[in-house]
Amino acid sequence: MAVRAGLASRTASGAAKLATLLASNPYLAAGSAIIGFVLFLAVAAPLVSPYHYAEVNMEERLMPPCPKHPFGTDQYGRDVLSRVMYGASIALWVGVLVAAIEAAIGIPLGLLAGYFGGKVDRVISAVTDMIWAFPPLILALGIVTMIGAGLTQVVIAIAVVSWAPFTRVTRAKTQSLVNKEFVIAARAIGESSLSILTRYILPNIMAPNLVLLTLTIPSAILSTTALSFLGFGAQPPTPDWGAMLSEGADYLLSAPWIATFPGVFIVITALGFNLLGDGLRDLLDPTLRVG
Amino acid sequence: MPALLRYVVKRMLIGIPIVLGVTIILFIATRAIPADPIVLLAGERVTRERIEELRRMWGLDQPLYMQYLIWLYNILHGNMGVSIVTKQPVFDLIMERLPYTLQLTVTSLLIAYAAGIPMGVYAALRRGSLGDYAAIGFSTFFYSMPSYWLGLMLMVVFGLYLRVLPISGAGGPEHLVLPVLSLSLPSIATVVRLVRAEMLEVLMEDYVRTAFAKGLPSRLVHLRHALRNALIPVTVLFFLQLPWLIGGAVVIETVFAWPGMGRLLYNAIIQLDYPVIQGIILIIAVLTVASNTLGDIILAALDPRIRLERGGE
Repeated sequence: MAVRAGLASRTASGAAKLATLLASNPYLAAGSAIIGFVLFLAVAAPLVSPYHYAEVNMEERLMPPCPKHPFGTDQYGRDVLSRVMYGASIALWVGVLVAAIEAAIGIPLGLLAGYFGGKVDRVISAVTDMIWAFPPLILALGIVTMIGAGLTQVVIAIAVVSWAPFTRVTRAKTQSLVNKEFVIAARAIGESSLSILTRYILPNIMAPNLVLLTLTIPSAILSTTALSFLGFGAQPPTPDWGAMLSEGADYLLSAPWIATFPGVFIVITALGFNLLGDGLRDLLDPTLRVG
Repeated sequence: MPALLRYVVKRMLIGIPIVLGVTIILFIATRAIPADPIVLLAGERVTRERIEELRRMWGLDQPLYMQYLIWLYNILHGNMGVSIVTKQPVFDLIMERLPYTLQLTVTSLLIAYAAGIPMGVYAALRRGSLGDYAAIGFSTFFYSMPSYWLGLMLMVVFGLYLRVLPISGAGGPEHLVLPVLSLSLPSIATVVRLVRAEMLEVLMEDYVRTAFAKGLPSRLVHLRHALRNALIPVTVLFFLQLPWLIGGAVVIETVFAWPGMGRLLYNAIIQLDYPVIQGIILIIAVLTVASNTLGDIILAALDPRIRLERGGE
């Protein structure tokens, strides 16, 4: 009994701590709530969506929002609400995947540049600055022209042109750590560079990179949906929000709801991640604080 | 030579290898495209002999580095080839469209700054207030919005209900309103955040405290001492953002049927018009390098520490 009471009070104090944390950090609270909602949509879509995303019903095409179809129907009579719900998992997957690839390219480069300095740093920094200066959407379009259209191709194209912030953040943070005593001590006892980088420096650069990762997801979602909107990303009948907007644009003035709702959900999702990122920054990295 | 001039020359020289680097990447990339440029140009129903002749004429029988040099030589003389679709010179096509894109992007950026700077200053001076949260919240909301979707929604509102503004094409200044709104509203957030952060930092500097201690009115300190210095990085950001906005213009120009370079690029990609794609990317690369160089030079002109540090050795 005592053990159980102790456990209960510990979880209670944990919940209380979480409550205080969320109350003191409104960005974190709002962001988590919004992302929780989108995550729920993504997971629950197959269970709770009223129709399948590809279910065509030509008798009910272009219907405005009504009790049967709260978000209306598109030109094939597909239920917009159901398609938007299925689209949530695509948006989340794509956002997280792009951000993860960017981190996987950017962080190691930043570690190398910051740790070794000199020529290595100059080359990596020059390449990073150069890629970062160019409009990412143009570069990504160029890549898509070469490797073809499709959601996977768009994910690769966006990630390959947008990793620079990870390199910059990691490089700056690594530079500030290289001459710290614990790193010098590790070098003095003969630890290899690889071991110093992975065991001593990497754990200390995770916080700013976690913030950056969170803030990269919304911009990845915006870029990939933009390419899908232009017709270079997800292809019909995939319920990608950008592709839905592209189809909806053709019926913009006769059936505006088709293009309205996917966009609303892009805004909600991107806003959720942006707020979450700001909240995490306040929590983990006070030096970069916004609020 | 004065330090500033030396810095300007040095900074401009750095731009040249970057542009050359881009041309090399672009050259290799176009060679990697699975399409024979000669067949694209001449069509598929020409004889083998004719294709060989064209190949010689375009220097495609030369080794790769010679092909590159010939290509570079042509580009430097304004000869970017002809469009596969319209057979017009690529350079002329681009120059016809470029002013429209610049008009759209520069106006959008100016409006984003005109709105973002006062919001950022206000947020910094009233830090932690409701107004601060409102400024950050408002700008983050639009920052999370796809510009092209904002454009579509504006088209619905103005095309379906208000009917006071044209919703597509170019013409008088009224044609600019909706595309400019779609591009500028999402760009405000970056300005607000930078201005706010810079102001907060500058307000803690010694010279600002001294100015207050001398008894200067706070309005004067905020504007003359704090804002002037906070605006230096903000000015630089303008030139860094301009190329990005040109990228964003591809989508907006397509939405609003704006006859700019972005729409030209979109159509060229759809039609696989490789010479046009190549030309536009190259022009954007040159614009990007020029804009970044200009930003750095203006930074050096405004902040003497920079030119002493980087140009004076």
